[in-house]
Amino acid sequence: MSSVPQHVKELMRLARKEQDTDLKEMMIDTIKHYWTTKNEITLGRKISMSALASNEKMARIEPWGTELDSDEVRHDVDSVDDILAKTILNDLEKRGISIIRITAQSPDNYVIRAVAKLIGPLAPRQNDYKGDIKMIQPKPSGASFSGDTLADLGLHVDGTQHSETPCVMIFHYIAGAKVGAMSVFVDTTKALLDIDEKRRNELLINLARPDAATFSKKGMVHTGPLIYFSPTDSLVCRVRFDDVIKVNPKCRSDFNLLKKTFNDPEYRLEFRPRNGDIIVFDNWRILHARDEVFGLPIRQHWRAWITTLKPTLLPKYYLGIRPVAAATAAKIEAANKKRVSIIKKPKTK
Amino acid sequence: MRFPELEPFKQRLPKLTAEISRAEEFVSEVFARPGKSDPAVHDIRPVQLANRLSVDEPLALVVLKCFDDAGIITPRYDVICPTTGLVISSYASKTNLPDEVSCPFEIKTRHTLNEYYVELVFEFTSTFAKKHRLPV
Repeated sequence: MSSVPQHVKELMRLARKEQDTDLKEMMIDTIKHYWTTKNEITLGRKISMSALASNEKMARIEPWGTELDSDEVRHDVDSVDDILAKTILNDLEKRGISIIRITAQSPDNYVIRAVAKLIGPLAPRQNDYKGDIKMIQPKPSGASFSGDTLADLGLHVDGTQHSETPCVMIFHYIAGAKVGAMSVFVDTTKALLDIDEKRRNELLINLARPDAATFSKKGMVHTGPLIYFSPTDSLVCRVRFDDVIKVNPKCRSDFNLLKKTFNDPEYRLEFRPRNGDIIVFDNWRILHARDEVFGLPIRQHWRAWITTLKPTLLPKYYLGIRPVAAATAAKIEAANKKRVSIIKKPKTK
Repeated sequence: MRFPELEPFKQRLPKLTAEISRAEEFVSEVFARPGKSDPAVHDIRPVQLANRLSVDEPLALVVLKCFDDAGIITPRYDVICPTTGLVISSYASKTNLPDEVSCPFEIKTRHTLNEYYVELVFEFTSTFAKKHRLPV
C-alpha cells in the first residue's frame, strides 16, 4: 500500500483543526465521500494557474517603468473591428495598457460599448452608480477619493469595495483639461519585480491574508486580501493609497513598502489624454492616478468596467501580476483561504 | 438567483446557513457566465468557493455537497497530465478512474494511476441546466 495522497492528507489536517465537533465530522465525511477510493491514486489539486509562469517570456509579459512612451501603446485606427481587438488584447497582455484613437469618431457612449464588446461583459454597476457606463466629470463638489473630485487622485485600482474588482477598465475621453489633470499609470509587476525576491515573496504572501485591509467608500465596505487569485486564476493586486483603505497592523510594513515602491517616479507613465482617446488597461495589474484639475475645466470621460474576459479569450490571454513562482503562488493561495476572525466594531451613535 | 432546492439544507444545517447563502451567490454568478464554446467556464472548483467564502477547502466541500445533494451540481474528476498540466480525460465517478491512461500530449507516453493528477470539479447537472436554461 502506498501512502495516503498528499492532498487528502492536507484536507484532513484542515478538517481536524475545526473546533466545532459536528462540523469537523461533516468535513471528514465529505472528504471521504469525494476523495477516498479503494485504489491508491495520486490526488493533486491542480488549480489551472495558466497565467502563472516561471519567467517573463512564458508569462507573455513586458513589465515597464518610466521608460515606456505612451506612443508605444497608442494606435490610430479607422474602425472598431477584430484587428483592433487583437491589438488591444496583445497590449493588455504584454504592457497592461493600450491607447486607441479612432479617426474622425465622436466620443459617444456607443463607442466605449463597442470596444468593450471586443473584450468582455460590462459590470452592471460601478460603486454606487447603477449602469454599465459612467460619465466622470470632476467638480469642486465631487466626492473625495473618486474620479468626481477636482483634487489630486492617488494611485489606486478601481472597484476596491466590490467583492471582485473589474479585470479591465476603459476610459473614453470626451474633453480633456488644459492644465494639470495628467493621467498616471504604474505597472505593479515592474515595481514588484524590482523588490528583492525573498522580500517580495514574503510581502505577497503576507498581503494575501483575508483580513489584510478594509475598504470603505460610498456606503460600501469590503474586507479582503490585497493580493489574491481571481476566479479565473489571475493574480490580482487590490490596493489604493488614500483614506478609503484601512490596513491591518500586521500588514502595515509590507503595505508601506508597496506604497513607497509604487509611488517611486521611476515607475510612472504620465501623459494628458487627448479628446477622443480611449485608454484600456488591466485593472488587476496597473494602478492609475490623476493630478489635480485646475481652472474652470470641463474634463469629461466615460468609464466602463469589464468584469472578466470573454470565455473565448480566457484561455488565450493572460492578465494580472505574473510571473510568480509556483511555490509562492501556492502559499498565496493558502493565505487567501486562511480562516481569520474579522472583528467588526459596533456602530457608535 | 436563490435556489429553493437548498432550503431543506439550510434548515438542517443552521450553522452553515450563511455559508450556503453566500455560496448561492457564487454559484449563480458561475451559472450566469456566458459561453457555449468553453464548457469549463461553468465549472466550480472547491478552492475557488473557499476563496470566495474565506473558509478552508473542507468547509467549501461540505457546502458544495449540499448543492450536489440538492441536484444542482455534480462532481467530475479530471485526469491531468503530470508533465503538461492539461486535462487528459474526465470521469463522473472516482471509481471509473483508469489504471493507466494514454497521454495525448506526449508521444507514446502512458500515465499510471500513481502518476497522473486528479482534480475534483463540479458542473451543473443536465436537469438543472435544462430547467434554468444555461446561458450560451
